[in-house]
Amino acid sequence: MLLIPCPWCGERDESEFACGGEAHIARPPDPDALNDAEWADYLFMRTNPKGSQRERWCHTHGCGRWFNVERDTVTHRILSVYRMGEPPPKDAP
Amino acid sequence: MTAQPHRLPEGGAIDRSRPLGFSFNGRRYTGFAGDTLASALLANGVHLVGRSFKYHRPRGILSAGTEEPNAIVQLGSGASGLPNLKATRVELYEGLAARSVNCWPGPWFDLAAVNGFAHRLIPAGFYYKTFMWPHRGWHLYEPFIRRMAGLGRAPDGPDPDRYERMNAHCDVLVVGAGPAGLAAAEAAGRSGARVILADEDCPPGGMLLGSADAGGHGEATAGLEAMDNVRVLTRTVVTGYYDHNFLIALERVTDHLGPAAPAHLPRQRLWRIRAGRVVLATGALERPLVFANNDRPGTMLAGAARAYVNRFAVLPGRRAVVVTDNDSAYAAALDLHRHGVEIAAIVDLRPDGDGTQCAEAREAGLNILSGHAVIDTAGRRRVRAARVARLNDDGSLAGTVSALPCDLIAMSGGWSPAVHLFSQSGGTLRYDAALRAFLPDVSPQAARCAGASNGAFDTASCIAEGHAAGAGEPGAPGPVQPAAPVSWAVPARSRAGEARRFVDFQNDVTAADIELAAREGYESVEHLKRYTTLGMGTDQGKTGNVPGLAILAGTLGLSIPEVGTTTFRPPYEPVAFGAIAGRDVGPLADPVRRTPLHAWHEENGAVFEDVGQWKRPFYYPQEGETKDEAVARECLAVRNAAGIMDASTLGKILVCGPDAREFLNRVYTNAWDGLAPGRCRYGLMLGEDGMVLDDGVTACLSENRFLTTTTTGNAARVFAWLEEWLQTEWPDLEVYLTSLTEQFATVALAGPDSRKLLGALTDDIDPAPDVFPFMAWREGRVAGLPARVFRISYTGEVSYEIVVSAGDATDLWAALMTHEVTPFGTEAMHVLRAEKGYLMIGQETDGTVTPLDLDMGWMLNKKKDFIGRRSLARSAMRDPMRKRLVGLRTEDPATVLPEGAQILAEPPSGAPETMIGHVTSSYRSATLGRSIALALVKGGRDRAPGTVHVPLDDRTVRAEICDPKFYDPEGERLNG
Amino acid sequence: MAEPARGVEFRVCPPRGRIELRGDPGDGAFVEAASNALGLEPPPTPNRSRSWADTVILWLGPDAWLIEVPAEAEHAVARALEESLSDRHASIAVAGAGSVTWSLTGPRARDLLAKGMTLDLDPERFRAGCCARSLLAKVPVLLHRPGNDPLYELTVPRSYAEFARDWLEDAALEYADTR
Ligand SMILES: [Zn+2]
Repeated sequence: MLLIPCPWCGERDESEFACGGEAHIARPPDPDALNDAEWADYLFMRTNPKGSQRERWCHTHGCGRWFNVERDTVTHRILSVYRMGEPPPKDAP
Repeated sequence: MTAQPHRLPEGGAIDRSRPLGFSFNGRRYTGFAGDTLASALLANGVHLVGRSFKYHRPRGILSAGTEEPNAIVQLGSGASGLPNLKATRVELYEGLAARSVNCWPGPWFDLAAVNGFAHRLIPAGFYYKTFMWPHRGWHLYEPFIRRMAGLGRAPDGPDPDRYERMNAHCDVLVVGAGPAGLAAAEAAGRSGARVILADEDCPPGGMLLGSADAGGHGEATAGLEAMDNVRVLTRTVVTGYYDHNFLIALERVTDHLGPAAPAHLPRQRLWRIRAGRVVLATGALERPLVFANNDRPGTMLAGAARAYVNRFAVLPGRRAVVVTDNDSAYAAALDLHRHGVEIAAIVDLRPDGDGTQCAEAREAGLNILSGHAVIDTAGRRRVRAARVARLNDDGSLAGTVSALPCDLIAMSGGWSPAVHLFSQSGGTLRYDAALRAFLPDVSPQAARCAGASNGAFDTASCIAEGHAAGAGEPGAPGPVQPAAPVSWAVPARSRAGEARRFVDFQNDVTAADIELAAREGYESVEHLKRYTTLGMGTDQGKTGNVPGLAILAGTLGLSIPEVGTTTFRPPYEPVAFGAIAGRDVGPLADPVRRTPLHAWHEENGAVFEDVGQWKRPFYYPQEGETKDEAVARECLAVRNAAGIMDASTLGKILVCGPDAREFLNRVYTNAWDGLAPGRCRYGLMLGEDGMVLDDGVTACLSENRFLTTTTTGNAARVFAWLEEWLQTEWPDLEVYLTSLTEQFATVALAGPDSRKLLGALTDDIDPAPDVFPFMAWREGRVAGLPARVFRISYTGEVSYEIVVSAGDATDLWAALMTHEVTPFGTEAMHVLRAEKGYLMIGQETDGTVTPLDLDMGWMLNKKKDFIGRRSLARSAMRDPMRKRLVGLRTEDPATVLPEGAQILAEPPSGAPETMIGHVTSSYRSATLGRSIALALVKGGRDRAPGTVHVPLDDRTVRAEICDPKFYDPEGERLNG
Repeated sequence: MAEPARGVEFRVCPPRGRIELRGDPGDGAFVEAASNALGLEPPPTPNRSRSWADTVILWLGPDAWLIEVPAEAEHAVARALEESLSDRHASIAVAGAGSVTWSLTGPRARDLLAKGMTLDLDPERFRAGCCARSLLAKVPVLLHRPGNDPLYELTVPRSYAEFARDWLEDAALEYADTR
């Protein structure tokens, strides 16, 4: 059972959250410009790395906010959290 | 009342003023408060407590703690029976009634003990090999195996006991209240941290309780109790260590009180603890020595013998042979000697034991046989003698064998630090050759071992380590007492003896079994475990695991670290299902949601249907009515007059903001640009994969405010879905969502008389169709209550959904009931909408159905993008042979197809068939006087007219493909 | 002998007015307009409440608040907000009928809640003026600590109220008296 630091509410039990999978997969601005394979790639294909992964989580049963979590998929250690629209901390200047 | 012939006249942490009567296998005995069942049995001279799992060999009490593999008992019987408890962990109470498990009629005469003679026939992997035989063989063996296998009796009714659950938070969780744990809790407590100290025993003290110098821990405990920030949980075993320092502990709240337990207290409480950091002061578990017939009752771990004599003032024997490969058993020998047990010999496998206690033993004049081993035992239901022989330097037997008469063999094969929880935390282990033990290495979590669990075996080091760990200071490793490199299994003199050197007592795994498994190729320790069952069972191999894998390593010619250990998984101790369930049972198992009209439905005899967590009226049977009759009556009332239905469970979302319309355009397939205030529109929502997600009507309240409805089951999901798009993809859209599902109640008024009825209830809403047309909404007062009225329909009749504040719902309903209306439930609604061919989310859709499959291409706007649109453009989505919605008319109008039935193009031939679809909805339609069904069929209405075949259990039903709009296909009634 | 004190007391609060307000706290004009209508600024700090006279404002999210007012004032306050915020992007929804509030008090009130909640209710952390949305026995709830008496106010969606009451009564059996 993870303990997830919501950027607004602080550390809360995993049971209050919903996981939205890999983060930073933007919806293509013009879906028609993509062929079927490219569209399927956007829709279905995920990196699924062993190690650090950036994911979206929602504090569903708390403040209701979506935010990003950088989590190690092996140890479950949470390396960072940052709000929607913010760059991942490592990429920050 | 029986005397306690093996109880010392004084001493021990027992209350002699409180004698307690109990029974074991039907015989009555007496013990004292403070006893465990095991110590009380030993006080009465009872060593034989059960039979082993596989060979049904007589077994005695091996340990004094949680590692006990043999003394497994059942308390009580029937629903409240508790199987598979360790006698060493059961605290005595007045009237306790225990039985041995695994033997019948009793441990003295066990019919299954014939296995013991035939046990060459049941070697390692017996069950495994049996399962692998041709399937036909299994039924021959099953009855035999079923009778022989399994521990204890499962309760035969619902558990009558009460179990609670508690969530707790702390800065420091200390597991184990021995010297290290007490020191850790005190140091952490003094720093001001929030501390929880959990110990499986009561009172706290750990190993100190069983040692002769049993003082000091009382003071430490008192000091802890004085600190407000320290919570001491006794009788609480931490069983699981999960991610992010989340641990599960089981507190035995009233188990030790038996029938005297106060009724308001739970039997057990499951603690869910979130800790900042964890100090694991879980101690160490003594290992048995592996020699022939080392399972004879009267053979026990040396530390256990010591605990019985010191803590419980019980003599586990009168004449003891102490056999050891390390120094620790000398302390046991000295304590036994001090309390009057004759020490026949201390048999030390090492050529030379040289610890301080060895010297003490020598001074006390005890007979020490260095470089010797116990190689076999004599006796049947109790050990009568130990056979002792000298060992050569290579561990082989030398010289003659002498028999030392004794009634107790106290053995020590060294100590295994209890690293289970550390390992569960994700921590790695390292093998320490000097200590001959696996020690904690590195954990990815804030977990740290202290004391014996960290390999520190003397009290001073334990306290120092505990203090450092509790204070969060770096700790220095304690002094290491190297163990001599001696063999892990003493050879036997005969093949029969070889076969009876037990490693895992509970699963009857012998050294020979492990050697056989290795020869058969089960070289991985994980395979060995599954093949031989080494380390399985209620004790999870706490005593035998390390000797077992050491023997495997020896057989394979590998080092112990090369062989490694099996993975330690939760739980450390078995947990009753009842404790896991807690109060999530019966009516509290899952939340129930009720509408504001629930009480009325209940009072008026509604049969309820579960829709998600909601209770919805399914139908309202009148006296003597069957379900079919009630539903038919309700349907006809709506078609011919008027009915009312509680639709309060529909999701309601306020969509508000300057970009609300644009937002609706993106999440619904159809366009919202032209929807004026006072009007509403049906919308279809897709997933990005193009599959139908939900549907519902959205009303324009004002230019920037819309009220969207969702289906009952999808309300929370759709709200979350919309929020996700707003927050993650379109943060630039100025839209706020607010869920109003709970604020409003909705009553659907449907039927040809509904317009007249509405008119009678309102002064300020004109129901005339030219001013209040279909798909419009009006605000006003209905029955004097502020209301919004939506003219929409799910039944095909003129229909109004009247929305009022949830607090006004009962008044509205009561006002409607003063008129000629029939309350109808969800089943009538299902039938009415199916007659119209209207889709129901979750019935006609299952996450694989597109709008095209439903012939709802007209709902797809071509001039804008919307979620799911691109996916629908994929060629496969337009394949005409996808399953598409059709109506089905059975040849026999009385036949109602079962929902979910498979559909064939041709009559079944007996060969495997290719199904072309399935029935999604099926009802008896009173309006049409026949059955109707909706189905998803490959090719859809391209097959019409045509016949399909629906094979059922006993016959095949023929049905015609037809238009799913069975009733009023032109919608004349609706618009009238 | 005196009646033993109960470990926890809980009872349903009389109906109250509630308004769900959404808006951007970074928009000074929004904050000013809302404050003018309410006589109180919506608290910007997560999981904190603010109160003055009959009005309590609880933080629900970074752009969402719950305003509690006397039941009879609910519509008037909502209208005042609507007027004051007519030219701002904001959402105002009357919500008083949509939930039920219990007050809980007594030495075991915290333990009672901890049976079903994973929130850290340590009185030093969840102090007076703290509020949080969370789950109690799988029911979505809003927990508020207005002060010391009552210790807690527990607001649950109306449809869950009966279940929540059953759950609370069951969980409180253990604390029926404090002997
Ligand atoms: Zn949050």
